Amino acid sequence: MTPDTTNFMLAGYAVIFSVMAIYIASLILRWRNLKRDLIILQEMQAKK
Amino acid sequence: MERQPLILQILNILSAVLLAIAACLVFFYAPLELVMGNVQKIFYFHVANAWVGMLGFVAAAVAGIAYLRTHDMKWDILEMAAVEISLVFFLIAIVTGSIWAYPAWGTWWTWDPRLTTAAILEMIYLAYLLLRQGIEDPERRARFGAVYTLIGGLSVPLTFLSIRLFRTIHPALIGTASSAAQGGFDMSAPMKLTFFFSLFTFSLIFVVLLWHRIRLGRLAEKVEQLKLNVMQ
Amino acid sequence: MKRNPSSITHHASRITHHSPLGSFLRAVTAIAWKDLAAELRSRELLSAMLVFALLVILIFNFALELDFKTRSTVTAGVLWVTFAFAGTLGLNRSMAIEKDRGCLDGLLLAPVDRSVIYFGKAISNLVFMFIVEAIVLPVYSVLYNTNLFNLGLIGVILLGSVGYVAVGTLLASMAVQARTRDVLLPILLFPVVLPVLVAAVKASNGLLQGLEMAEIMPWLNLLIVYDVIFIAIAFMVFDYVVEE
Repeated sequence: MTPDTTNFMLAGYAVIFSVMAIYIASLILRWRNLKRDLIILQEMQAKK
Repeated sequence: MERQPLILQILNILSAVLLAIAACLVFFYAPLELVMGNVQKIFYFHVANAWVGMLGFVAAAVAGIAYLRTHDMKWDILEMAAVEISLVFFLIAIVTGSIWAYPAWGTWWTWDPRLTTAAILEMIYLAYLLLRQGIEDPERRARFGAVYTLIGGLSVPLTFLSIRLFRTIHPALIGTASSAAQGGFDMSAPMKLTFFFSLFTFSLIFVVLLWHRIRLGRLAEKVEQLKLNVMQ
Repeated sequence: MKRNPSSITHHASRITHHSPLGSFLRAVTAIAWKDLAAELRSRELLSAMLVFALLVILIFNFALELDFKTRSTVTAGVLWVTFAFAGTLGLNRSMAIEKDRGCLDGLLLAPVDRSVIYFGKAISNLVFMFIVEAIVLPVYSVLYNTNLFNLGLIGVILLGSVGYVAVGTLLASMAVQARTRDVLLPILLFPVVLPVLVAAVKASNGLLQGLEMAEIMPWLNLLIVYDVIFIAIAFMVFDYVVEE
C-alpha cells in the first residue's frame, strides 16, 4: 500500500521555491537600495 | 556599478531553464516510490539544497583562510556571500527534510547527526552575522569573520562526529530500525537521472547566486567607502 | 653556579637561560600571574562566577525535580551546563577588564609574541574555571548526596575545561572588541564548543554510571582531539584577533 503523501511533497516544494524567491527578492532589493544610496552619496560628494 | 556581464546574464537564464526542467523531471518523470509515496520526491531537491549548503560552507572556510593570508577584501566579500547562500540553502534543506521526515519516520525532527549538524551550522552562521553586525571597522570585521568561519569550519566536523558517536552508543530512539534504514530506498535509473540533474542544476544556481552576491558585496563596499569620504 | 670554562657548554647554558621557549614561558606566566594576583585582591570575577554557578544549580534543582532517580542520569548534564554558563561569565569579564583598562593595548606594545598574551589569558581563565569547579563539585556532592570524587571524572573535567577555555579565550577577545560585546560571547561560543560539551557530558555520565572504559574512551579521544586542534588553531590565529 502506497500512502498518499502528495500534500507533503507539495508543501516541501512550496518551501523550496518560496525561500529561494524570497532570497532572490532580497538580493534585488538590497541592490536597489545600495544603488540609491550610491547616487545620493555621489551627489553629496559633487556638492562638496 | 556596471551592468551584469553577458556570461552572467546567460547563466541567469540557463539556471532558470534548468530549474524548470529539473522540476518537471521531479514531478512528471521520476517514478513513484512505493513505500513512502509522493513525499519521497522531496529527496531530489532536498539533497541538492543540502549540497549547495555544503559548497557554501567549504567556500566560506577557504575564503576565510585566503583572507587571513592576503588581507585582500575580495576574499571577505566571497566569504560573506558563501555564508549567506549556505545559510539560505541549509535552511531549505532542514525544513524540507523535516517535511519529509514526518510521513516517513512519523516525527518532524530527529536528533540525527546530519540534521543536528545542519542545525548547528545554521546557528554558527547566525552567530557569524551577529558578530559582523557588531563591528564597524570593515577591516576588523573581515578579520574576525575569517577567524570565526575557520573555527566553525573546524568544529562542525567534530560536532558531526560527536553526534554520530552519541547515536551509535545510544541506538536510534525513533521506530525500530535506525532512521537511515527506514528512510532508505534503492534508486532506479530514472530516479538517478532526476537526482543527478537536480544536483547539477543546483550547483549552477550556487555559482550564479554567489556571483550575484559578490557583486552586491562589491557595491556595498563601494557605498561604505563613499560614505566615509562624504562624512569626513 | 660555577662557570664552566668550556665555550660550548657555556654557550649551551646561555641558550637554556635565554632560549625563545624559556622567555616565552616566562612571559606567559607573567601575564597569567598578573591576572591571578589582581583577582586575589579584588575577587570580583571569582565571586561572580561562583555565585552564578550556585544559582544555576539551585534553578536546576527546581526545574528538574532532582530526586534520587533522575539525579543519577542528569548530574553530568547539570554540572557541565553550570560550568559552561559560569565559564562565559568569567571569560567575558576577564577580557573586558583588559579592554577597559587599556591593558590589552599595553600588552600589545610589549616586545613579546602575541600568542604569549593568548596563552597567559587562557591559563588564568583556566585557573578561574578550575577554582569554580573545585568548589561546585563538593557543594553538589553535599547538596545531593552523590559521590563525585572520581579520578576519571576529574580527568574529564580537566580535558573539557581546557577545550572550553581554549576556544572561549579566543572568542572572548573578539567579542569584547565588538559593539554588542555583552551578549555576543555565548552566541559565538556555544555552537562551536558543542563537541566539547557533548563529549564531556557523555564521558562524565559514563564514569558516574560506572560504564566500562571501552564505552568512555571514544569521548575522551574526542576531547583530546578537540583540545589539540583548537589550541593549535588559536595559537595560529590570535595574531589576527588583536592586530591593530
